[in-house]
Amino acid sequence: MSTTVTQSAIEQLPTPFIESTRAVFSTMLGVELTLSDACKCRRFYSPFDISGVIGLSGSIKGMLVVGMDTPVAFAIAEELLGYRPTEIDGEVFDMVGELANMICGNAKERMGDPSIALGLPTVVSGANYNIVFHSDKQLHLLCFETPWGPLSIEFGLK
Amino acid sequence: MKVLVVDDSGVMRKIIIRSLNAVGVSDIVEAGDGQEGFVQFQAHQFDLVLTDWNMPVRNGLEFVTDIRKTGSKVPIMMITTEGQRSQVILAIQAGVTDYLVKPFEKESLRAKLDKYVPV
Repeated sequence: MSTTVTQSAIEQLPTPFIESTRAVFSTMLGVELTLSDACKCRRFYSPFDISGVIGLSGSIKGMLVVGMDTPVAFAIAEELLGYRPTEIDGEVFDMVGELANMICGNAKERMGDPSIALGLPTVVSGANYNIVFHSDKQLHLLCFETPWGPLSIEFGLK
Repeated sequence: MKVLVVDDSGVMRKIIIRSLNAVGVSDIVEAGDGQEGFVQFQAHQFDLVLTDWNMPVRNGLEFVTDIRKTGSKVPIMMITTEGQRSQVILAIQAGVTDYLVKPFEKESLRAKLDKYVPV
């Protein structure tokens, strides 16, 4: 089994992440997401209130960040749990981390490489922070529109 | 019917518990990782175990192996993002009875649970 990732595979990287994000929202939340923008960027900057961060290792290494504002996080939590949180608490952190885990896990399945492993998710509360990724050449930003507001998926992989 | 739910995500445990409640199961014990799960497993008599794979301390595969080493034949369903065939085979070899890949529709989980919940 080959664990070498070709340049063309790297170029195709956004596709499994677009599909996995849509799959997580449609299956877990019954919501169809719209991709409003997809681009490459040189540096990561999060304008969102809360972010789920998860690492990948194996043939593809790096990090994925799922970002959203508080009303989006509350709406997703309400859909999943059946009640709306009133503050960003441990449960909201947990939900955002699990969302990152499912999006990344589903993308991993779509990439079809069993050597790729996921770390445990971490959640960051607060906007306007930077992350320095391993590879500044392959930083991808995907912007989705949910029924409750914008959601971003940003990943830097090599 | 008594069910053990093991997942490091409290939100995922709640989602699973909502589905268990919907099929009439309310006697549920929760654990946040495989080690804590095994402590609960040894302390109670369970009719069904639902476990995640990727967890801190002791992962789901190790937890399932621990259970099977005791000789228990309790049904174990793994609910995980690990959906590749090779991973499913590993889980079955460890002793998993049933498998559900995240993300999943509520109906898929309920259909799986229906197999284990007495009418």
